[in-house]
Amino acid sequence: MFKELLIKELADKIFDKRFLWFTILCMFTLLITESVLLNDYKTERNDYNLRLLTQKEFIDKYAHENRIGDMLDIQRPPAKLRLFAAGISSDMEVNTFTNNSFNVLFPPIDFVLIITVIYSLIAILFSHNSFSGESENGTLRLILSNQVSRVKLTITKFLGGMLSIIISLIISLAIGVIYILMDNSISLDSNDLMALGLIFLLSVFYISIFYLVGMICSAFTGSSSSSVLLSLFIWAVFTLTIPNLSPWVASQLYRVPSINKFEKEVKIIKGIERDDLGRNLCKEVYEKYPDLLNIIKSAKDEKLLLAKLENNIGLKNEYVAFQKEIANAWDKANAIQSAKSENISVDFFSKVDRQIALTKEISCISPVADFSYAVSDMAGSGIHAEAYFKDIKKNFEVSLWQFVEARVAKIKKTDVMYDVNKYIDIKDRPEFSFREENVSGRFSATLSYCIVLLVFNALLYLTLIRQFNRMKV
Amino acid sequence: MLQAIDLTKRYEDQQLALDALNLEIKEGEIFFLLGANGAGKTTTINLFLNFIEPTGGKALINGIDVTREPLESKKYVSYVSENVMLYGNFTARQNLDFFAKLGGKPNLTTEDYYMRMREVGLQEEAFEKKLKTFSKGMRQKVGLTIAIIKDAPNILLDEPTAGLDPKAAAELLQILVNLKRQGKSIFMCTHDIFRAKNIADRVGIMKEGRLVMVRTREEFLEDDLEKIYMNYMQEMVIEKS
Repeated sequence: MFKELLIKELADKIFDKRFLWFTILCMFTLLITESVLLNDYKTERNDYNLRLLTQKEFIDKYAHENRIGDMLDIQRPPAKLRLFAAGISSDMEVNTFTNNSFNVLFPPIDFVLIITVIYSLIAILFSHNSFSGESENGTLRLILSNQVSRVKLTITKFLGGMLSIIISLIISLAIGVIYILMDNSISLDSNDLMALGLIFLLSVFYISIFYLVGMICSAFTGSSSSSVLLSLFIWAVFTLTIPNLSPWVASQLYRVPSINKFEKEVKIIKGIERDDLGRNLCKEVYEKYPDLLNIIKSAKDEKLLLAKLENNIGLKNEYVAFQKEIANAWDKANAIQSAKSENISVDFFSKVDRQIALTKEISCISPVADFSYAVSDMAGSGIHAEAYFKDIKKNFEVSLWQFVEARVAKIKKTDVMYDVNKYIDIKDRPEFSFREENVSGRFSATLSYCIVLLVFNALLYLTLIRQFNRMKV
Repeated sequence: MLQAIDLTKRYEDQQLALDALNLEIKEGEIFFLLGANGAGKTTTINLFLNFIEPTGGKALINGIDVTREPLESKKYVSYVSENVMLYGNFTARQNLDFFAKLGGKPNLTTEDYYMRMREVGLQEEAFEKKLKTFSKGMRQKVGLTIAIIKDAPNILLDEPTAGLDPKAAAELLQILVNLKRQGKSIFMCTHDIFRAKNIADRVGIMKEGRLVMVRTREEFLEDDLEKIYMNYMQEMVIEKS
């Protein structure tokens, strides 16, 4: 009986004309998206390779100790799976050779957007009349007059409907992957294919949330027209309202002073306050040398003062000690104010970080945010992937500087005239190479989001059972 | 056999939909339940099918308590509703096949389906046609075919003649007589007093959740059933006003 109900539900959806139109729409949208993103990827990769070549040529010719850091600005190669999840741009911190401001206004559509917007809407349009439609047709009473429990009916309706969407998703995704593989400039290895498989699974978990929302609304309202309106309202709250409101809510819950106020405060600490402190500390020094100060004041100009000092060794020594103490006083003032400014900076940026973390936590109430974080991290274009790259970059920079320092030490042994502006040969330096994190690492990073998506599914399914049991058939 | 013992349903808003109904419909009997809208006829069917839970008493199908063993009790009952739309995008065959399997008849052949369809007066040409092309009368016949295919000893019908033309309604009632001859217990809720007079073995009148009268065929043919029914309805109108 389970099989019959499942097949009926699947057939009901697949033989519906909407299924065909939705599949064609998603297929073409994905193809267009892939075409645009593939073009972007190639441009970015060429841009990256060109930058590497320029850096190499430049550093081979002009490697000065004080300029190596600027010359070797390590960039991240574009992630291949950005073709599916654009995520954070790999060159967001640099100017590309082909900057186009329209990309900011109209970011490219990717697979993530197709799932979060188009497929979630399809799920709602397929499920909003699951029970209300059957109730209106009189078939719900007819089904339940047989040995069919309500729980069994909800399971088969959910699985049958989801299977139809999964079939559509597989067709669209397969065509997208084939299109990419047909372009010889890119190859997907087993790591990429596994990540794609996991992205597909995440998509199914995400879509099923909206399928369940549609089913719950159908059981709750008992009317298809009310159900579609209620479902779309919930969709808008999840997809648009929560992710967009989360930064504002976080800023209200955890306040951070404005950047202008912070910068002004730092400027005062390092400017007026430092000068006042320096002058006060100098005053203490002046009080220790009253006679010397009288001599300095009585000297009409610097030449006369120098002549006096040259004639009196004791006075000269006293003057040197005085100058040193004055310098120390200013150093002390600088150190105190720098420490104070550093404390304020640390405090400010930790507050900013906390607010960002809070924004992320609040946005996770929406499955859209969980799905987007999970898929972009799985594709190697998300926040975690960025942090992973920065770690590798940092380690490389440490090893590079160790190499440079060893080379400089070696040169200094033979060249007594060495200074930081002199060319050093570091052609045999370690080369930076970056491989995307393996799938298991990416999966661990996305596990918490996957769990949230599964919890959403479980809670919604329980709500569905409760709601359908209360529904008047 | 269908039995209601002190069967009561009070909704959450305290409205009494069914008040201690006691009723027994034997094998090979056609029982018509008459009553105005909201009298409690459909509530009675809903309770027999366990679509709602009773607040008192019990409903038994072939001696099985429908609240305690809802799935088991449904083996022994078929249901025909007022408005049988079925699945419009599926053909008659696909609809029959689906509901036959749900009704525990998974191995029926096309010939079996044809035979049942002929019983209700459906032509074989209709077998592969989509339900959305069918008239209401034809769909109702498909609904009845589904009930016949299940071959359950009890059949519940909720105003099946509503909206049917006189010819189709007469055909449908003839089918019920044939089913009665096969030993089925038939419980039909209706407003159609004239049809009741034609084929019912017993008639009950329901008023505001209470079964206020039950007459056997001999009794209601002797009395004027129409007059009795109208009297009850008039009383109700006077009480309300």
